[in-house]
Parts: sequence; C-alpha cells; structure tokens
Amino acid sequence: MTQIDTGVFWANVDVSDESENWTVDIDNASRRMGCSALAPNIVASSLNHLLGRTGHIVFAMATPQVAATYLHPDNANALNPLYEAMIPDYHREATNYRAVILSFPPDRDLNWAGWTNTYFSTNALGSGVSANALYDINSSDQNYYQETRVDIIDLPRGNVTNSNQIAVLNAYGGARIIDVIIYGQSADTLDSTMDHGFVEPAKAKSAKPVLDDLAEDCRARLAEIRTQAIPPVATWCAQGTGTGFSNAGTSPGDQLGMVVNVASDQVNNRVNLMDHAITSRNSDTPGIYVHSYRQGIGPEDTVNGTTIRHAVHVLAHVTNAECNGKLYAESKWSNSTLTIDRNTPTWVTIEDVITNSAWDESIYTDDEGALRTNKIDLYGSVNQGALYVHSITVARKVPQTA
Amino acid sequence: MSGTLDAYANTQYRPVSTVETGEDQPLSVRAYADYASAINNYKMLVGAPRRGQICFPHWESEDNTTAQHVVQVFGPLYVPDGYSVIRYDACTRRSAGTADVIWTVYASQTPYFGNRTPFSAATFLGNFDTQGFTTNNDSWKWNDATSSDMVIYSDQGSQFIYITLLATNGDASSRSEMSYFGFRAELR
Repeated sequence: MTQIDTGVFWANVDVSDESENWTVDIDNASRRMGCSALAPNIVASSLNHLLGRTGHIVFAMATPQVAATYLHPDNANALNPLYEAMIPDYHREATNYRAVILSFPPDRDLNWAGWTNTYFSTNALGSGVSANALYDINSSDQNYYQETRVDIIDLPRGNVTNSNQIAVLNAYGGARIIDVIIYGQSADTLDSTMDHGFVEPAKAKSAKPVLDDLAEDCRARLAEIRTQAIPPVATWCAQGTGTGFSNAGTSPGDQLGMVVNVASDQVNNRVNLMDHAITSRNSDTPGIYVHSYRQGIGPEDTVNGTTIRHAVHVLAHVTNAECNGKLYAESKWSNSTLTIDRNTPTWVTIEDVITNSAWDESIYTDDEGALRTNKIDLYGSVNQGALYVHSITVARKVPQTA
Repeated sequence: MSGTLDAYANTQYRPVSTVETGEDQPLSVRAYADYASAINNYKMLVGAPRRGQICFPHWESEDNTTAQHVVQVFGPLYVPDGYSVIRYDACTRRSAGTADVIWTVYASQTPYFGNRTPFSAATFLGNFDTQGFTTNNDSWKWNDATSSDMVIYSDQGSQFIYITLLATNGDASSRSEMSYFGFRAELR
C-alpha cells in the first residue's frame, strides 16, 4: 500500500516558465526548450492536494437563540426526523464525512442539574450516532453560550452514489440544536489502493520525455472534480417533514414549514417565500445569493460559457391535488416553475435555474442594482388550500457542463 | 499569492480535451499549463469553502436592548491554505423602530463560548477579525460585499474558522430581521 502526500499548501499554480515550447534567449534567438518534468509534477501534486483537501460543507443549518423571537421548541426532540435534507453525492473526495452539532439544553430559562440520554443520529453520507451524553450544567438566561456542547459524529463513507441523497438528522433526550454542519474531512495522504481519485506524480520522470498517460490522468481527475465536486450554495430545513405540522395553513409558516395559503395570499398570487408582500424579483428582494464569478465552463465571452445551471431541491406538499400549487425559482436570467400536486411531503427538483459567471458582485460599490445580480428568489402560489415547504437545497446541477 | 489566475489563458475553466497521442507517447508540456490554470480556477472560485442559509423564520435582533448581543454561533468552516479573506452575504431590513441596527460578524480561530449578552470578544482564544454592516431601511437590502473582507485566522491544526453573528439595536425600540446569511472564502 502506498500513500501519496496531498500537500497542504496551494497558492496560484504557475507552470508557465516550465511549459513553454519555445523561448527567446538572451541573444534574441528562438530556442526550443526541453520537456521538463517539473510542470507535470507540479500539476499532479496540486491535483492530489485538491482531491484530498476539498472538505466541502454539504449541509448546514443554524437556528438562532435570540430572546423574544423564534427559539427551538421544546418538542424538537420528539420530531422524527428533526431535519431532512437533500445532499449532492457525486464525488468521493478521498475522505469520510463528519457531522458537527452545537447544542444547548432544551430550556434556557431553567437550570439543568442533569439531563441524561442526550444524543444525535444521522444517516447523512454514512450513518453515525453521537456518544450518549449528560448535560450537567448550570445554564443561566443570559450566558448560555458558555454551555454550548459540541458533538462530532464521524460518518464512514461508502462508494459514491453519483446522485442526490436524502439525509436525516435526529436529536434525542433533550437538546436545542443551534448549528449542524456536515462536511468532508480532509485527507493528509491519498491511499493509492483505495478507490478514490489521485494522480501519480512519480510518472513525471526527471530528464525523460513528458508522457501522455500522466496528462490523461490529470485531465480525467481535473474534469471530474471540476464538474462534480462543487459545494452546495445554500441549505435550509424546517423541523420535521410535515408530521405534526402544528400551524398547518397559517401563512407564511413557522419553524415547522413555509406556508402559502390562498386565504392570506390570494388566488394564484405568486408570493416570495421569505416575504409574502413581495410578488416580483429585483436585486434587493430576499433570495439565495450565488457567488458565480468566473465559475462557468467554456469561453467567458459566450452565453454558453457564462451560463451556470443550478438545481433547487424542495421537500413540499399541497393540501390536495386540486390546489394548483406552484413553486417558482427566479434569477435574473431564468424563471422556472414546478407544479406541486402531492398531498404528502415529496422531494421535487426545479432544474436549470441560471446564474451568470460574468458578474462579480464583490467588486461593485456604487451600483445598487448590480449588487446582487446572481440571486435566486423562491416564490409560491395556490388557487385553493395551501402549499407547504419543508426543506430546500440549492446546488449546482452536476455534472456541470457548458 | 495573487488575485489573478496566472499560467495561460482560460481564466474560466475550459474542459481540457482527451489526450490521444497513443499510450506513453511524448507530449508537449504545454498541456500542463492549461491544467494549472484550470486547477487555479477550481480552487479559487468553484471549490472555494462556503456555506449559506435561508433564515426562516427570520432571524431578528433582540427586543428592548441596545447591548451588543449574539444572534448566532456557527460551527466550523474548513478553509485550507490558499485563500486570503472571508466574505459574508446577508439580506436584512428594519422590522421595528426608526434607529439603525448594526450587524457585526466575527471570524475567529476558535468558537465563541462567552456570554450571549453583552458580547465580549475577549472570550475568543487566538486571533479574530471582524466586519459589520448597518440596517437603515424598512425594505429588504443586501449588504455591500466589497466591505465584508475578514482576515482568515484559521486554527493552525485543523484549518477551521468560526463565524459569530451579532446585532446591536440603535435604540431599545428598533430591531432588524435577516432573511439570508452566508459566508465564503475568497482569494483577493
């Protein structure tokens, strides 16, 4: 078994000096350069670094704990699952996954002398359960971040599925989750007998011609990671998946789900899920920001090259099939619609929501209209009954192509 | 380290064609310049560490206080070597009152384990950097991303950074609510 060091450092891979076929020497004469093995060696090592150290967050869900606004309800522990999310699983990334959970005791206003049998479980990209733990604290109203508990669950990774995976997370015993992260662990070395991508830098032999098999290894690994290993843009989960939905029908919803209700939102009126008073998109309206600058595939000066396609995965249902429930995902360059007709929560996908890689919102300071060009707004409408949304994942459509 | 993608052209990724010159045949090293450029593009832009979230029900600054208080403590974000700043993206509006509400973001080497209110940066172990923005409009507005740069002081062993989100009401009757919050690493 051999292991290849992935290298921890990366800053601007530049092999221009090593990869010119011709150069002009000090006498102004064109001179053919040798086939240096240094360039492919640098490229191969950098690729291994990427393959082993792309520790993307694939799911994240935080819940604030500000007084007088929404708090995690005491019944969070009774919901099964607490969260259900769609996680893109298209690349093994050479790593296992890890869940990190930050939590409090269930009621911040009480002093918990002891709260036993507290643990979490998840099946996200592997399955795992946290250690069964005991809160033994003296939590006070104002200072409870001092009592934050951090649980870590390692999720042994099987083979990549090349699909989107439904993952759930449960909390037991007594806990208010304030943040959940699931991310790929970085690897210090790539184990070359395992089934994950790597390239063999040793193929670049000093003083020997540069051969094409290493080039093909690099091309294949780079194309794979570039089109498939892309961190999701945003995730959000209501608590539960519709079971025990306590405020069914109340627009705009609560921590148990978003609701578009015909009584409150009018017949077939398209309302922004984040603010039902908003019915049309502009650069200020609430939505999901997608940083897209130079993240397309292909020439930068063509429509195909600047088009980046996203998939919006939504767990949703309607009161009945006659509701004509619609979900809309609108960006500056596309407006996609999907009909929701199931009366039980079902995962659906709004395909091909487009952002533009030519825009760099990070450089605009004076043009408010251009500030958030690459933003996806989500809307809903019904002609009777109600539309319910329980979970949303916005991610690149993979494999990403021009 | 630089903010531009060096090596050859293709500042945006272009699929590199399959190499078909026969098995183990000599090859121009020029192909590797394209690979280097594409690697830079992936790591700097497409694969950059990030997380984002819809804030629903809306996250809101606390009632009846002007003390700086913690709204959210986030878990770790893995930021490997090669990035220079953390930037955040947020959409907010004023939900009550007429005074400004200041949102403050900390990027630190360790998680925040201090008081919820008043917030104290002295609780952070190690280094941190901070930026903020102001909510002064009753309509939804996004923050100016150009002024959200925070230095990355990652934990040297695990290369994690931790984000903490705070709010400060301009007066006791004013509040602000948030509909989206995300943060990402960039090379600038």
